Amino acid sequence: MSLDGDLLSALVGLMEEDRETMVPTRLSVLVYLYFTQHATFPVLQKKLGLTSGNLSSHLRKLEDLGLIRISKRFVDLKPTTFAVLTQEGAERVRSQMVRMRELVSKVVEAKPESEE
Amino acid sequence: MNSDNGVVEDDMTEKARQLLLLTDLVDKYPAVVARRVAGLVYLIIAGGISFATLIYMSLQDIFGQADPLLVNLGFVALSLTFSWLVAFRLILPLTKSYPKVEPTPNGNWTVFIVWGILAIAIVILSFVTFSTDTGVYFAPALQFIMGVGFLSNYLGGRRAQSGYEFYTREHLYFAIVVFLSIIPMMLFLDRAHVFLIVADMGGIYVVGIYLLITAERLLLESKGQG
Repeated sequence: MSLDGDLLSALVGLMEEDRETMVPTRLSVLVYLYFTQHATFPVLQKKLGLTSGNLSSHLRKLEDLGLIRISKRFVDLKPTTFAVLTQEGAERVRSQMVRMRELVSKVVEAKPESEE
Repeated sequence: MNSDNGVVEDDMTEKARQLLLLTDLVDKYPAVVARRVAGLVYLIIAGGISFATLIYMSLQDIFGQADPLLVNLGFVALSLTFSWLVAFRLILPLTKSYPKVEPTPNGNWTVFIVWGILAIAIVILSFVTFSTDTGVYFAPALQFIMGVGFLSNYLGGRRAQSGYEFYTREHLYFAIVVFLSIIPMMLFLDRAHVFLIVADMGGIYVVGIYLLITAERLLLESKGQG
């Protein structure tokens, strides 16, 4: 099989294992929050290029899973939604990324051998 | 057709490598935050000790020289209480949402144990030197203890993390400076505390700032980018 096929099947396998967080949009929200710890709704929307309805449904799901905390605060007299990564969320991101690295490394390392 | 497949294959390889880089960044980022926090803790400890020094010098000016043993104990208690309260109450919670890296049996715990033993040694040293009228040797002996502590930080930091060094050589250089400063301290025993303050306080400030500004360097020491 080609590299893209191997890679795709490895990633699909990972997504099958964790259908809740290994959704590209949710994973990108979690990874963004992993590096920033917290972000406002408009910032997330702009950085990830999502519609407000799409983002809010994913944020709600992530909050239900206990991976993020959502709060509303007034910033410059305007109500602003904040998303904060929980420790459980950070652990999930890290463990999934480490797992992803193992899988992708195997595929990338196996490729030159199979070509030979 | 074959060349098209080759281009797609190269594109996928590049994407796979970028994915590996991202996973590596995620894996190492808690260590970057921890190194930044370590830098802040160093600065706060140095600030706490500076603050305590200022208070005690002012009090000595006002009330005259007090019992050296009591002055030392009070100085240590005030500076450590201030520094550790601020460091642990305000700064360490910043890292609480990151996954905790469990200390390895030979890693972080060794450093804590070594510093615990050294802290007890400092208290005993203080009692012994000031009760036997050999107070002039307190500063050089304290400096030796501090040197051992910073050396243990370096060795512990090297062994605690696999794949990269949490504390790089800044602690080794600091320990060398601390040990070398014992020479002028022994030569000018009556001015030993000046060398102690310059070497230790200056060193703690420099190491703290260095840890802060070089925290991202850990991300460059990547091990699994394919």
